[in-house]
Amino acid sequence: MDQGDAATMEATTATVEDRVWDGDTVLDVQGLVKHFPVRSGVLQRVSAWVKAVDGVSFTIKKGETFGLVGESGCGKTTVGRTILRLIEPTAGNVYFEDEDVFAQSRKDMKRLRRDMQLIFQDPFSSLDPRMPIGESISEGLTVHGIKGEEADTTIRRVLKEVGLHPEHSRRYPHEFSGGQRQRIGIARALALRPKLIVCDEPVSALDVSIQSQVLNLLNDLQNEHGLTYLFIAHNLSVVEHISSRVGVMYLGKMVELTDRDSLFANPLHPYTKALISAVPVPNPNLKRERIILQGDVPSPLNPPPGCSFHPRCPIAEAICSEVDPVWRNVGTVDVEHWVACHLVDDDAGSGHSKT
Amino acid sequence: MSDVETTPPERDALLPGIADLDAIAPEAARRPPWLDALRRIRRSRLAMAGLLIIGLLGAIALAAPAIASQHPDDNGVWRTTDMRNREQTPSAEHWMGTDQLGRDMLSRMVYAARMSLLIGVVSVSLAIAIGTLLGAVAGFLGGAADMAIMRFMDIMLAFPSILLALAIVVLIGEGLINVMLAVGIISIPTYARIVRASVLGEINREYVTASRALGASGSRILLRHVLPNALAPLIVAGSLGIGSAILDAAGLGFLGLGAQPPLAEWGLMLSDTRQKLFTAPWLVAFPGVAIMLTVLGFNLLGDGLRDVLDPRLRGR
Repeated sequence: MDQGDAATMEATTATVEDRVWDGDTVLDVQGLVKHFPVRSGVLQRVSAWVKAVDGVSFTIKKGETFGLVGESGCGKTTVGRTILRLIEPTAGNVYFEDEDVFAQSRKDMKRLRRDMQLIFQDPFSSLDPRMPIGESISEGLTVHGIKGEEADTTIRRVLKEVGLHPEHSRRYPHEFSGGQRQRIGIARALALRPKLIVCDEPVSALDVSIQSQVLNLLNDLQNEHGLTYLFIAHNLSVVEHISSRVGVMYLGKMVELTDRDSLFANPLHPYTKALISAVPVPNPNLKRERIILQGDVPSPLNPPPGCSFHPRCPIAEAICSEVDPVWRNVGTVDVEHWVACHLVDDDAGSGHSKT
Repeated sequence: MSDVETTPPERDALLPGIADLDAIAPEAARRPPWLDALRRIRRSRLAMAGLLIIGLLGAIALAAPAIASQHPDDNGVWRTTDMRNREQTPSAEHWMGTDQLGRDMLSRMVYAARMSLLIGVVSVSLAIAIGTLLGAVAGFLGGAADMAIMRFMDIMLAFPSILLALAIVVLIGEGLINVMLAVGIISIPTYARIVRASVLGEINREYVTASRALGASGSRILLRHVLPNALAPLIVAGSLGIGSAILDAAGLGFLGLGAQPPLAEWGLMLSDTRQKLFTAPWLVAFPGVAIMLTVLGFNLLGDGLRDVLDPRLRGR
């Protein structure tokens, strides 16, 4: 039934002008920008703009897990929500498979939402406290016209898939533990059989012991259903565990993007280096070079000129405060390694010139 | 519930701690929220006292024809003045005495209870219906609509409520139905504000975002997520509101703008007999005490409900 739908849709939706879908890319984000207005005064005039996301581009292939990391307030969550069009973008393009997400009408957007789902950071606040969990899970089904027997079997199936009893569907969120609630959130996202799931820090609010359970569950579900994840997190160990490729964000911009192994073995951007050096290693004898960043993240209201990382960068030079660094590929054709830094050599990511 | 079968064993082994959910959520915690709330109302003495008063009043109002010995308009000699019977002190025949026209006070009192409850419920229902609509629209749409609606509500709130009700009754004419309308209209801003605040609070909740991500429409979100969560403050304000609506209506009745004679209504009865305060004090005391008790009952219930339904006290 799903396939039939997809076929008719492809026929009716005209191919997006001069863009050929390779059939493998699930998500293609191009120059995504989101500026939030700051209003002040009696007349509520826009006095400034918060540049939450300022030109972010990346692609995610089918079945891949793309990790998006960065510290609090760097715009990761905004990227995730803008992709799902829960927040309207300021500029840029997002393509889901062969469809332009931002160009969809309200009706088409509703259809697209079946394929793109979201898992939240806080499993408690993302479930309506006055709704039995079965109803929360079936909401998507109801909205998309799936009712009765079919909806019931789906709810039972997804509850089993996330490791909960189908009998629990009549209980309320407050009767579950944090890990169980997160499973319910995952079940809700799964119920519509989406292709892409944006996981917005899905384990940050959970106990460490529960985190691995939920991560393994996400992994299993990915293998079973061929899901594609955009995994937003600030915990590098988690990202290293689950991602196949990783993008690092700083102050609304992507600063480095490559596959997981290259990133952790050969970080190029000084910000990535500092982040990775801060990950605790369970070996007390290992002497490591710790890069400790000074100062705070500058305000996205007024980002510094040039490279926005330069005020905190340990190796910054004169050029860094004047010229925006170019977003360029310094890796090889096989292993792309994108970075935005003046001080990285053009072939630094190819594996030959490790410093 | 049978938790023995169902779940495939591999997943259970994979995810420890799921099977013992019943240990985490004992039977008591599994009740639906409304049942839980009911249980807590029963534990609150104030709310129960209020409920008792209102229940008694409701029973009296329902059973009015059975309790009353006379038709409320009847003074024994149908619709003629029977001056021999007027202003009798309470006796075995007339438990509350007779009024200035010789009518049985008890009969009039119980019929007036019907009238007061009717006024309270009808006007508050009207106010909640319109207030909810306005508040929901204002909160949901925001911007200019919000500005227009809420500033108008502010203007209404700027007037003393009884003065505004008076003005409305003068405008649309006196009478019982118009009094209900007027009292309903003056309480709209209260409910509009409550609902708007709830909408603004709910609309940014993660579960509303989740609902949007699933493709739910605005009206569905409003009806399924926002309004149910705004229900508790509405119930509290509503039960408090019935009390003040009855008081306002009695005030208008006292001024001669509400129920018209020979209808039995506490405010009107109070006004008709006010000169008899020293010669026949029971004529004034009974309606006065009845109004006081009714308002007290609704206020107690409202306060008790607020304690019970306050989200900060939930889960205790």
